[in-house]
Amino acid sequence: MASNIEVEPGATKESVLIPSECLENFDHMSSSLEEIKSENNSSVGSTYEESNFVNSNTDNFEDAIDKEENGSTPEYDLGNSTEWTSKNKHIFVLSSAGKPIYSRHGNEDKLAWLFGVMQALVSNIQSSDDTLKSIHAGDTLFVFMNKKPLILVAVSKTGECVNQLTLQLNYVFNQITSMLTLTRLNKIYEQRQNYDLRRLLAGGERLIDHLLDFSEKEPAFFLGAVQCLPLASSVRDSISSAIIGACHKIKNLVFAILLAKNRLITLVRMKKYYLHPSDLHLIFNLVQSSESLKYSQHHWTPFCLPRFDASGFLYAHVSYLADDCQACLLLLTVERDVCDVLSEAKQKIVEKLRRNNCLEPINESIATPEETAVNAGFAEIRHYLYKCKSTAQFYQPSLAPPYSKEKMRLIEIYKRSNQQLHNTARPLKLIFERSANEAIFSWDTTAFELYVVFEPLIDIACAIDFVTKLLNWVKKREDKLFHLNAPTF
Amino acid sequence: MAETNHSDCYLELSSDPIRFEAVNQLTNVFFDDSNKDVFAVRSGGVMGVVVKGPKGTKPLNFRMEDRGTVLSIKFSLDHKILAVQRVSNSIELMNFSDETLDSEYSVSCKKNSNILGFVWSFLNELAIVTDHGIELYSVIPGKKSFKQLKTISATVQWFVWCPANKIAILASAHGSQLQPVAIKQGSINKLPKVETESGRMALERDVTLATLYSTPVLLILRHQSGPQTAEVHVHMLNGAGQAPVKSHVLKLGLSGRFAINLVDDLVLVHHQASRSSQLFDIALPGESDGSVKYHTPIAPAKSFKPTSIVLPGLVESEAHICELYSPNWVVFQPNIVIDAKLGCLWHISICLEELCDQIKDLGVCTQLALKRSDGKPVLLKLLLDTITQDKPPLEKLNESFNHINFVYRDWAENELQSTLASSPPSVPLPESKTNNQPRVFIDQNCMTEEIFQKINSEDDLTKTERILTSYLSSLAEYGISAQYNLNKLLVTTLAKQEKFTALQQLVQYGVISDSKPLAVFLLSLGNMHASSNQMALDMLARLDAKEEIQEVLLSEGQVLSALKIADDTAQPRKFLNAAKNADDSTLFHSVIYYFRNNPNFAAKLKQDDRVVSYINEYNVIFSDCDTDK
Amino acid sequence: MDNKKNIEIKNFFIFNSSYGAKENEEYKKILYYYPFGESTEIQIKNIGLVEGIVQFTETFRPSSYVSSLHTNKLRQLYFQPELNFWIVMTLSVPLVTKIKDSVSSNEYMEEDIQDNVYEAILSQAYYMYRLFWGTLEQTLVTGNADILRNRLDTFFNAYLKTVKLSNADILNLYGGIQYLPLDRQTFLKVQCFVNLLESSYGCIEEITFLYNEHVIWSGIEPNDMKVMYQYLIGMLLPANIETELQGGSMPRNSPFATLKRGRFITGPTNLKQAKTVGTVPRVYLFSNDCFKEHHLAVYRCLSATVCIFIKGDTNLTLELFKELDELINPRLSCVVAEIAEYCSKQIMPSITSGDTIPKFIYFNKINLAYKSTIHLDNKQTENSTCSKDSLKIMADMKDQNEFLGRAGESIVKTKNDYWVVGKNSNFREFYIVLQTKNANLIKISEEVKKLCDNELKGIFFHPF
Repeated sequence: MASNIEVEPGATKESVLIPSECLENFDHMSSSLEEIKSENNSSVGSTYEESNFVNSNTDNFEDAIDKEENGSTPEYDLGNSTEWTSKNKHIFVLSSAGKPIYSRHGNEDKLAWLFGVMQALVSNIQSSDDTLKSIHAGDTLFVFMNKKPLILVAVSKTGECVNQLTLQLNYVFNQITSMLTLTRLNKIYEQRQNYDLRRLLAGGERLIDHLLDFSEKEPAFFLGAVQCLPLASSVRDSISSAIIGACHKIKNLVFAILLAKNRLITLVRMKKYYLHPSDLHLIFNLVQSSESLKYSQHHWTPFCLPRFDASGFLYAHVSYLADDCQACLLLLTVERDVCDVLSEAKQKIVEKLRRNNCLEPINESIATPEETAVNAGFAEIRHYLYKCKSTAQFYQPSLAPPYSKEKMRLIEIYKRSNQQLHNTARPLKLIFERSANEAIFSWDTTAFELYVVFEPLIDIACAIDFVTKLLNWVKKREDKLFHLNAPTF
Repeated sequence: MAETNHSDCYLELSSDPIRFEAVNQLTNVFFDDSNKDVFAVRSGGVMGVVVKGPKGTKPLNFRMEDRGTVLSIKFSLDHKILAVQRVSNSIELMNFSDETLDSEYSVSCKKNSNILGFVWSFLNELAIVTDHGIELYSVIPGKKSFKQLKTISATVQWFVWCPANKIAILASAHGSQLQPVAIKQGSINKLPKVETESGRMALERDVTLATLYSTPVLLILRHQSGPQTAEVHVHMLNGAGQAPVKSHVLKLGLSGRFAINLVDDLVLVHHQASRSSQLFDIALPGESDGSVKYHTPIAPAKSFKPTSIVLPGLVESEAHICELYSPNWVVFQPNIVIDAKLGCLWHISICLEELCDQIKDLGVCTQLALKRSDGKPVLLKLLLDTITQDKPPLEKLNESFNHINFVYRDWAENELQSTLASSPPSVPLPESKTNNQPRVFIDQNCMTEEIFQKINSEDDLTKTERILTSYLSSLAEYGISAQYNLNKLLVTTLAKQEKFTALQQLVQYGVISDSKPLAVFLLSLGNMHASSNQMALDMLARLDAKEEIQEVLLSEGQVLSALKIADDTAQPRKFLNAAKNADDSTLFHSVIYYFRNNPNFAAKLKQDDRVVSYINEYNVIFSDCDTDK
Repeated sequence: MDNKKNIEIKNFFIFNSSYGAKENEEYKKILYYYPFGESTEIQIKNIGLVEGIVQFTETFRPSSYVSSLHTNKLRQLYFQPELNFWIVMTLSVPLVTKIKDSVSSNEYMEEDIQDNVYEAILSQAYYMYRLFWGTLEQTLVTGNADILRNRLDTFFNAYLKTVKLSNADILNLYGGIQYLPLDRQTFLKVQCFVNLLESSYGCIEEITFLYNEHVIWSGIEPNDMKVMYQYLIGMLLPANIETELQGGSMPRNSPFATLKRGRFITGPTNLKQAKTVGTVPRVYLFSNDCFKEHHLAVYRCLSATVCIFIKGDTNLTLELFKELDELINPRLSCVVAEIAEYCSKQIMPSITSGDTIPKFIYFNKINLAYKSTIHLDNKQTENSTCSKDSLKIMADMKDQNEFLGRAGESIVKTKNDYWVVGKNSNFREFYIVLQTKNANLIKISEEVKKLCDNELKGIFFHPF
């Protein structure tokens, strides 16, 4: 079709993020940490001391532990709990032995028997060396992920497909590993078959809960990309250089990330180390779900980035730039005791930014919502998603009617189209779908993915015309909408 | 084989025959078949002459001098001149007015030729047939004179006259030579000779001239020698030029004395010995050898229904059962029987209904009835009776329908040609209905009113359905498209039986023809079966009824589809309202935006305040949510 | 070099969950189990697992009971035709074994099995059984569990052999019926013939009339016809029509080529020698949810097949069949002659030259009518004019249908650059495959429009 279009907005030679295929499997893991440490012959002790972890964990997530919720969860007698059954998505995490670890709704203990059944099913299939993947019953889809040493189960009435739910389960798994590291998780179960992991995850539920809601309403997750905060490239560059200036001398600082409002402002990285979008999503999730960060100076917490290296921790210095600028800065290092160093660095950065008047543009951008498609002059475009593959970044306009009333439906539409394009057995290049509610145009090229939602009665020729115009429109603004340079220390 | 049981007699003599003085020593009786007058001449006229014409004409009474025995007596066609033949070479004429005769004057034919008979061929034209030919005179009553108009010469032994067609057959060589002549006003033309087996002789009484299906025909009764039985050969005298060839043979299966009448284009052959009559219809199919069609009686031979007259008795008048097939009977064309001894003149009529009872076969009955002047009610009754049987013979009915619709189709085609209007046969134009109407004409309306509405469909829907299908199939056979009322009847019949699958197939295959009213009707069945909506929409689509389709879609809440079809003709308010009522914000948005983004409407929107109110409502709905989340 | 292991039935079993509640009596649940070899323990274990899954899924109150279970190697499909009765079919997922430098790796083609297609096959199996034996419950009421077991054995042992798994596609989903396009007049001839037959014998309840593999008239409800049609086309007729059908489902050769007298193909197939009425199958029709038993007498003459549904309580005599034959044969041969004449007048697109004619499938949910220019015959062979994938994509689309709602369209371009289009309009569906080289969306939508104008004449189909 419009393949004659040469524009490929947001593309660059080198990307801040690892170009991702949204549904790829997360299993193979690098061991970047070892390299870094050995290279910088740093004297770092084992990252895996439980005591240390638990303390740091409890310290930093104190506020995150919802005392109310703990223990005093309302009881569900499934026999007649329509409230519980009517939840449109359940997520369960259990140990291979069937020990309850997490349930999105209801109290795991009350559901112990259910966990039992799920474990039984999984192992039953396993016994004939096969793996249970999914069960389909009318509007309800059961997806199983058997990921040693855990079993994750999604029970969904959302209409999402197996792959999408698997993706979500993967995120949950990664969220857990990000709190414990995979190595440790495995060790625990090697030692004690039916260890109650909840003891270690105390407060972690909150992160998972949030991650789930977050991943359900954010395109970022199924696109496997991040959205940037629109900024003039000059501003973005001077922000990056401010960070580089302040940090390039600090040893073993792997990533410096500045973000606001779920948007990436900049990401500075150690040469030849890349951050995977899914890891970045976990970071977004961390920042988002810990309200308390806003009110304290900074936080110092170990944090494992499963895609970067699932075997061990990085240490994150998390802080908001200033009271008058709600952008959040994360400095990730392999050193466990450089908190103060990083605090200094942060101060330098803030001062530098002030001097270069970078805070106003940030605040401004935070304050002003993106244009809606209509306002941008695309009369019959309701909304769209543009993802640049090479940079794993995407852009979307503000919600406009009718979706401003029902955002979730829009997300479902996108998830659906995304799934159709990336159907494992029968992938598609292009889809034009028209229902009584809307007309949807989905396009997967080598360079980008584009999803456009039109007014339902639009004529096809006219739709194609809009698409061409739209791509040019994005192209014009690419250096504002995307983070095109990949700064390093 | 005289009939004892009379219920199945299909022939009858007129109940009130024309009565006249019976023949006796004093009285002679004559019949003039041109004027259909019966003359009773008492003692040569001296005692008076009584003339009785057909019903409705008043009898004439007069006296005339006795100048010897009367051989033949006939009034001119206007009853102003009386012609009497008493001698073999002349005819006396008398002007006649108010019951009295004027002094007479006479016409005599050529020397040494003998008068065989005479006929009034035209008003004042007298044709005298002699053994040497025909002499045509014009009589001028005022001057009591006459002048010869034309003569032809031919040897004639006897002749037969057909007043209806003004044709005479001149027989010579003992009837082996039959020469038709047409006597026109002031002229006589010989027509080609009748082709008969050469040398085959015929008696005067065996030759009948008449009209069948408005064609002059010559019927010759052929007695066969030996075992074979008698036949009637029918020669058509149609069209000038070509010789009247034998085209039909009526097989009598009997022998003996016969008499022939023609009633309503049926040939009636009376057989005295068996005191019964056979009926033939040359229009019915018969086996044919290419040139000649052979016919057998259409029904078993039957006698007349018994009839009686009242005679003055000694004490009081008493009913007298008339003898049927009496030797005193004389028959005249087309359908007259006279018993001179009894002084009665009857007209023969056929009771079609009884006849059909005798025939049984519905197909034959239909063909027969379709050609009879009084056929329609009989045929309709027959159909209705057949259908109301509990197991109607579908195939026979279908055959019958085909005959009916064959007539219907021809009529329709004539209609089309006559009225250049391109109106389809299904809608006959009322005013033109009258002209070129066939004898029996049964169209769809008639069928609906007289048959289908009379079957009590309720108690046997399946039957109604089958009969209807059969009729529709026959209509289709003749390329006549069915009218709405029939289609609707079929649809209702099926719907009542919940045979929607069947209904659908009938629509699918175009048996039920499209029309908006029918589509609407189908829609009304929508609640009974989803298919009827589909059928209705399809129909409307075939009729390209955008408006209606729009409405249907709207009523089904398919607002956008309706909008798509309405295109630029849409009335914003209607659609906005529908969308509003659907209480579906996305839909409401879509509709508003459709109009906004469409230049044809953008302007209008602002003008119409009622529309503006919708827009305001829209803004309210979507204002509350801030656009960035 | 790769080698592919095709999809096949791993097992197929029927059980009643209300039976054998007691300990050690679970075996009583089993009503039918294939393969026969399987030990009772395994049978019980498998049934147990299914029951477990059913219970587990029910806790979440799904809109309908569990329909399928996916594992890496297997696909298990569930069908509960009647209360407590479960029919379970387990399929092995097709497997491709790639051998790269003497190292073989297995790849399971999970997506090759489309649930909706094989669920259709599963339920079809039940309905076919029900056609001949009535409901399972009914057999229990009139007989007992063992009778039921026998019936199931006799039926399914034979039936499972006929199931064609590897070429199943969207057509199985429809279980559609092909109608013969015919002009009003000829159709009415058929109609009158049918009416005559029905009205002449009170014992004849319904009649269906086929010409070759195409239905012209069906007195029975679509849902029954659907199964009947499968039975006729799939089992009964093939044996009888090879001679008349020289490939292709449309009549190519005037039936006069094989002019011969009609005969019954169920019942007394040779009336002259017949001493008894022979075997006349009993069938159960379920129109408006009460079932009626019938004798099914099938009469064939030339290319026509007349199915006569005789009241179940009628006592069939040779005389009856002789009379019927007398009545049917002369009339039927005339009707068939007319049909044949009409058909020969229509210019049949020579389906063999695949590329020239548009490739589409049309389906109408209301009367289950379908038309396919993609399938060259009704026999579920490899014989299709377009790639397996595009057929699969259609089935995917069909699965998504409710998203499009009453009316919608969906145009997709595949990785290897052909286009599949799905449209639906109320109860109708229309799928098209286009292999137009380097076409664009606009071109395609225009082509589709043209195609719709030609193929969807005379019906209402939402314009888009």
